[in-house]
Amino acid sequence: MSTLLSRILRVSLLLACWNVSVVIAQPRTVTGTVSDATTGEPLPGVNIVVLGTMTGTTTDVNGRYQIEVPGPEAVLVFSFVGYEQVQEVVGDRTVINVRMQPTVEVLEEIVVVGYGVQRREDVTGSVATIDATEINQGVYTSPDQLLQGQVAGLTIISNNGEPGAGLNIRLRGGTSISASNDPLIVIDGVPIDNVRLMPEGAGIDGAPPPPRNPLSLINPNDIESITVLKDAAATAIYGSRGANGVILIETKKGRQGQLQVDYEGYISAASPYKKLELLNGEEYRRFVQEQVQAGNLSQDALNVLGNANTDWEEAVTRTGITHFHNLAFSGGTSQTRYRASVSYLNQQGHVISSGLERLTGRLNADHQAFDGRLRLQLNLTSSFQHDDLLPYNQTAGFEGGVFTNVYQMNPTYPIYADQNLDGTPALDGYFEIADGRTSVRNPVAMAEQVLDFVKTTRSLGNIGAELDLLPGLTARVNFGADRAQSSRRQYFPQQNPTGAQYEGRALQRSREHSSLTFQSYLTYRNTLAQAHNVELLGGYEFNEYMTEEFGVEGQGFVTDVTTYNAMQSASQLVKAGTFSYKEKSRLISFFTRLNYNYQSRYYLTGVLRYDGSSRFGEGNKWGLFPAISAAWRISGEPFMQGLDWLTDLRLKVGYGITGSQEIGNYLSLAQLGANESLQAVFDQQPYTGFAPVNYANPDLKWEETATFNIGLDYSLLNGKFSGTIEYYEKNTSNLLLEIPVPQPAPVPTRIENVGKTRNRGLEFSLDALAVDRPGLNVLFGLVFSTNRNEVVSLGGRDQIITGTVSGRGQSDTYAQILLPGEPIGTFYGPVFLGVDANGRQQFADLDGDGQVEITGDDRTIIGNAQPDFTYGFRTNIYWGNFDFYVFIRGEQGRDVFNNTALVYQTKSAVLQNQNFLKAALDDPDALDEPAIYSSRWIEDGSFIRLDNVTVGYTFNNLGPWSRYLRRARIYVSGQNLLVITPYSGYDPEVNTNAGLATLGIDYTNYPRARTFTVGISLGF
Amino acid sequence: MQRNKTAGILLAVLLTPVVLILSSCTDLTEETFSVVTPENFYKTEKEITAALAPIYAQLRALEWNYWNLSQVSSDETVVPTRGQDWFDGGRWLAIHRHQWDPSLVDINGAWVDSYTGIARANGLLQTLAEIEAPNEAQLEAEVRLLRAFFYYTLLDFFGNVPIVGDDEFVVDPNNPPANATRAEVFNFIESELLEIYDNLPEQPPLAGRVTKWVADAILASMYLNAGVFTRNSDQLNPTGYNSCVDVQVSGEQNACQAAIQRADNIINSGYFRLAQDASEWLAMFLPNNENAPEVIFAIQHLPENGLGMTFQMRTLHYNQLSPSPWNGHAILAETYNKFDQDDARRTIFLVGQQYAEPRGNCVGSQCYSQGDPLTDRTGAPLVYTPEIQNVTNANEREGVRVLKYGPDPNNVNGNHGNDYAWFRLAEIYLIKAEALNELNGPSQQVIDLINEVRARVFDPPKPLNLADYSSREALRQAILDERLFELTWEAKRRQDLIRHGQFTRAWEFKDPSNPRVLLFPIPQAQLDANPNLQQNPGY
Repeated sequence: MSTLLSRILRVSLLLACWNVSVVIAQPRTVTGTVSDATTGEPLPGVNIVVLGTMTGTTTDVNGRYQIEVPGPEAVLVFSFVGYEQVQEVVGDRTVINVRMQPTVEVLEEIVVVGYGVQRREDVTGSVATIDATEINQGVYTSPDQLLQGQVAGLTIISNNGEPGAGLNIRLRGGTSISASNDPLIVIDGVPIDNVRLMPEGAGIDGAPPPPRNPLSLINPNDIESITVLKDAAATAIYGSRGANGVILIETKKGRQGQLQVDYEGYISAASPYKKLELLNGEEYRRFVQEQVQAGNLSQDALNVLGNANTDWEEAVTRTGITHFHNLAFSGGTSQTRYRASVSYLNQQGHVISSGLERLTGRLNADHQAFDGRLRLQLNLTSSFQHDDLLPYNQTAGFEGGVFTNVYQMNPTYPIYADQNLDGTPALDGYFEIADGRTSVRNPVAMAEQVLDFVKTTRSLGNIGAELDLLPGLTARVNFGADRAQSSRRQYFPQQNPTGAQYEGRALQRSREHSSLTFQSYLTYRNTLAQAHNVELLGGYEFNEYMTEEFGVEGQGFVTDVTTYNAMQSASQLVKAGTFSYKEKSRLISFFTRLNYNYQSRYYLTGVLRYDGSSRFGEGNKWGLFPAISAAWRISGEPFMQGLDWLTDLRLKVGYGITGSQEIGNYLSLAQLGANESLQAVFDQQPYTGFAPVNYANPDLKWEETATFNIGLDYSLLNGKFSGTIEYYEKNTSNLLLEIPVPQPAPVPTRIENVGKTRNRGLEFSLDALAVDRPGLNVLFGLVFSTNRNEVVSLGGRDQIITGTVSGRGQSDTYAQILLPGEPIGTFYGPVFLGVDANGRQQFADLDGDGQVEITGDDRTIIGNAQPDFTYGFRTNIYWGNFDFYVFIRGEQGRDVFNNTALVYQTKSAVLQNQNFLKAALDDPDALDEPAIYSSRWIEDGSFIRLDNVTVGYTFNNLGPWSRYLRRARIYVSGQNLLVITPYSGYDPEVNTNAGLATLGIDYTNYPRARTFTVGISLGF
Repeated sequence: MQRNKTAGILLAVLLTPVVLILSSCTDLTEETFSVVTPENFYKTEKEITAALAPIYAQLRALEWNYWNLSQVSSDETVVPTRGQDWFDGGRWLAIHRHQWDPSLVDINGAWVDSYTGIARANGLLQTLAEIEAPNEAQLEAEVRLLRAFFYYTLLDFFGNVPIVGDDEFVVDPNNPPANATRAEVFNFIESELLEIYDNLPEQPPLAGRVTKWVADAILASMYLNAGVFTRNSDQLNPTGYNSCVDVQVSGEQNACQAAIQRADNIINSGYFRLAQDASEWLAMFLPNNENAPEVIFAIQHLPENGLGMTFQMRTLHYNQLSPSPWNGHAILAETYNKFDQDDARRTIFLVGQQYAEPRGNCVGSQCYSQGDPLTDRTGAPLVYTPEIQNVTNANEREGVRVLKYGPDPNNVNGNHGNDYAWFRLAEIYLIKAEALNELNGPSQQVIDLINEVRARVFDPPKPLNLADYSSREALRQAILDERLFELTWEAKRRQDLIRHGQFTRAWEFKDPSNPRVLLFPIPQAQLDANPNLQQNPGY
């Protein structure tokens, strides 16, 4: 008694941030073993309580328990997740052995939720789970691919087809306009700061491609399950980071038993799914001749034609070979379990001179002590990635990178030559139009000569301890550390026009990112009076994030030989590329959650999180995020008992408030900074200037999203058909928006909490075991979702123009508008009517002033990048030893702005001796008609994608090998096999980052691949 | 019992770090590393100079929006759409044709550029009011002069703009300032300059910093333009001369007299002289022009990233420099044709066949006159022609280019080291001449002033004769023309055309325009940000 009280007291004192209950116990002892009724294996961790009291215990690793009971009338209640509850009257027994029956209900699965696990049926929020073993294994290079098309309401668009390309993950639509819309990602309980790891590189001109996928550093083969928390009832426990949803990733743990070794390996070949048809050399030559004859081009145009016939698109693409190997071993005793894995991926890009190489290692171990009352857990993972990047740009780019030049380089020119067009000697054997100064460049030379390498190391580790303090009361502490270091090296050689203007240009940049997490929480579980199931959670969390970066840029090299390795030999260090910075932020939280249910029929969950962020203004550091949700298991009601076909039916309703604090550090502080543009020139010398670099907003706070969710979980015919139907409404307010401030102001805008957005949607999912016969199982899954996004208010602003149009002659042209009443991703511009007899584009005179201005009031809404609905369909068929997997997904009713076609599908390119897309030959535009952004270039981007087809064969009888080989499976797989879409560009699923909250803009992107894979999976 | 004890110890070990971290349980103070906050700055003289530098740095910003709008909205410059290049949503031609609206990005850019300079000046002035700094009176005068200059650009473009800095240095975002009238802005700048005049140095503490002669030059320009600068656009005469004679300014003199007085201050200061001859005139625009004799106020440049001049880049053809220039701005044929064949100032133009080698230290036609003939990107010989057949579909070679500021052989990424003189002595001569003509009509004194300017650039001399100018109006036109020849490419033409009532007339590629264009509209973005602002007449 005294030890108990003192222990409680000690804990209470230590954890000022916790709530603790006091329990009273009585003497008299019963012991026994609990085992699985079907297998006979002992069950560790079974909860045992004396009915009507708060006395309880759990079984140890050997399924044994010991409990003190008040007398023979006492009733012991044995409960364990996944098993039917057992009640035993003690009587005069001192040994009670119990065999527990596994529950048959499909819904009786364990779901990882924030800071703990729950039975599937106890979850009152909107939660979707993906069991990695259910998805076809072996052909994924990054964890996000496991999610694509699998969860209703979750869309993942990779920016383009580049290996390791960045992602746009949206759960139930984007809520934020200027802050991040990425869900919070939690790995093994530790929130991961899903930020850019790679230092930004220098583009050729214009913005370099966006940052790459930070999740790619996790080996998909290590993933056990992924849980997506969708509504506020589920995410409010993550408070100021829950507004965009939460993705919980659990990695595979070791299992008790002998050493198991597993090997997975595949080799795949990727080639571009599609070519954009450009004129070939013959066609180009003919076109020029025709135009010269017609008098549209001078005779000189013939003189600059070459004799070659180069398909530049073909010249820069190839079949990229990828091979992947994963070796894992696991095992353990009843007390200690481990799993370790190493993997190696070598992915060649399907565009030359690009690809990545990755090595990952992981060790997961857990140990139980004190009869299982103390559980220690260790997860360590480390990865090393080497990227070979291609020089290309996402926006602007009058000169541009590889893809820009694929489109514009004259097809009558050769790849290799002794002489350039202007007669100067060709450097390194690559043909260029001229020596150095030219702005149209040989894309093959650019890909091969320009160096751009990134090395990234990331280590994630967490160690946790869980201790059963009292029956039902568990304490947990968890430390996590995440450290990433990424360095980027670029060299633009003087041999190449991109470097010639600088006489060689070298950059070295290094970025370090670290985060530290500490969590401690108490969980108390009990069943009162056999009917009231209670779980109470209370905890504290501390996060600290730090980013450091530095870069050096040198220009003017004597030789290209030393590339970026001899910065000291540069004739000058360039100030704009030479910098360093460091920043730090903190997030401190207290949280509590109460789960209650009455007879597993009526459920109630309440969540409260109190978050403090260093990023916000002095008066707004702390915020409270509450959520409440309830569920009613209709099928558990007596009046539903006659319906045999209805296995389970549950109604869930939830409401809660979550936040988003992804706005960058120090914005509430007035900061003075020095940069190049603040320098003055006095006496022919640069003088460093310090000036305000932001407009401080001391009132700054998080974005707030209030979510209402109502859903129906159903399970029919003993779980053969199950799924969810849900409706939600998310209202985001206090939106962080950059607002122009009244002048004079040191900087023209500041971040304020002003705007409002709304997302409303419907989601539907169905999982079915359609055929269940010996030798034939057919499973299929269907997800469908629709989301209506709306900008409700932009504070004082009527509209925000965004979506930079890229390309020649498009400066300060914008494609999108944020307008109250319209969704994010609304295209805005002139309405294209057709081309008149003179070959001039005609636009609608919308304001009726008799004049058509393509910049003024003659613009209107001409499209929307948000889909009407999205869907995914997958089926697994097991037929004898064969398995088949087919995955189809699609989006309907979305628009894409084909910025590539706008700029490169115009014949006028020939006036500049440049190639263009063949489609322009058929349009009636005059030769000198400029490229004008209008509804003409907004295309229907709806698509149906045959994403994956896999056929596998598992060897049942391994004959003489079976001594060594536990299992073996071989498979062939095809990815991105077919895309049915009216879209004329490479792929409608693209995302060019063209400014604030832009969606659906496609400009000179890395093409997407079609991939064929052969793989093998072995167990030893 | 033993077990409980062990568990207790283990628990304590596990939880120790909790206690350590809990000590910072609620500490959310932001720690900064690479930026400074105002509380720990402005402590040393070096830091104060570092706060002065950004105000000067902001002058460079005027070379984009202010310069482009001044040039392209006048009859000097056009940016034709060349194939796909320079279409940019039609805005360059909209500027040339005076078809802008308040949402034009360049107009908002001009507003923000000038006010950013004012905000930086106000920030430093506020700090100076709170601290002791060495040589504070002169420093304060310098900052106020720069601020007055930024207001001068706003007075010129927008007229009715809010004045911040006479009592409050910062804007209350909840109650932002309303527009002052153009006359009030004029008076504010004038009184500021008069107040600080005595504290300004005659010679700059560092080359490139301002002197009292800069204040004189700003005042001279304001007084000459007083007929425009003190009136709203709907009170101006769009088709006739807006004279300084009718405007009373400080010291109970009329603005023309005041302009002459300010011009005389500079002319008689002894620090400046006119270029001696054509070669010295041309040398004033070379990359190493920092010691040019006529320069009163120049924006200093270095051939470094972000610190250079880019006028060369805007006009030269892609094949004329490395890195590639932008092949944009050209001079109108009718304006090019106004230049006298014998005028050395005509050297600034590039016309006809271009050759591969830009010689060092050259201006205009002196450059690109040797080596192999250049071609354009279609292979045609790069021959600049004055005529632009179709301004919406020009080829790469059409339009005479202005290379007044010679290319810097040491340019870094298109950043050239030539300084850009905002006020030169020659303009002061012409200001004095114009003001005298307004005051007294044609006189030998006026003709002499103009002829001194002409004498430098005509060999043999080609002076004007008083006898040819019987009326004030006739001489006005001669002065306007002389200003064009002298000040081409220096962003003066728009201001001159407005003063002379010629801004709304038709010229190449432009129809007569609505008189509202005599002022630019208050940018839409500013109206959105500040509900107390009122739009200029006619928009």
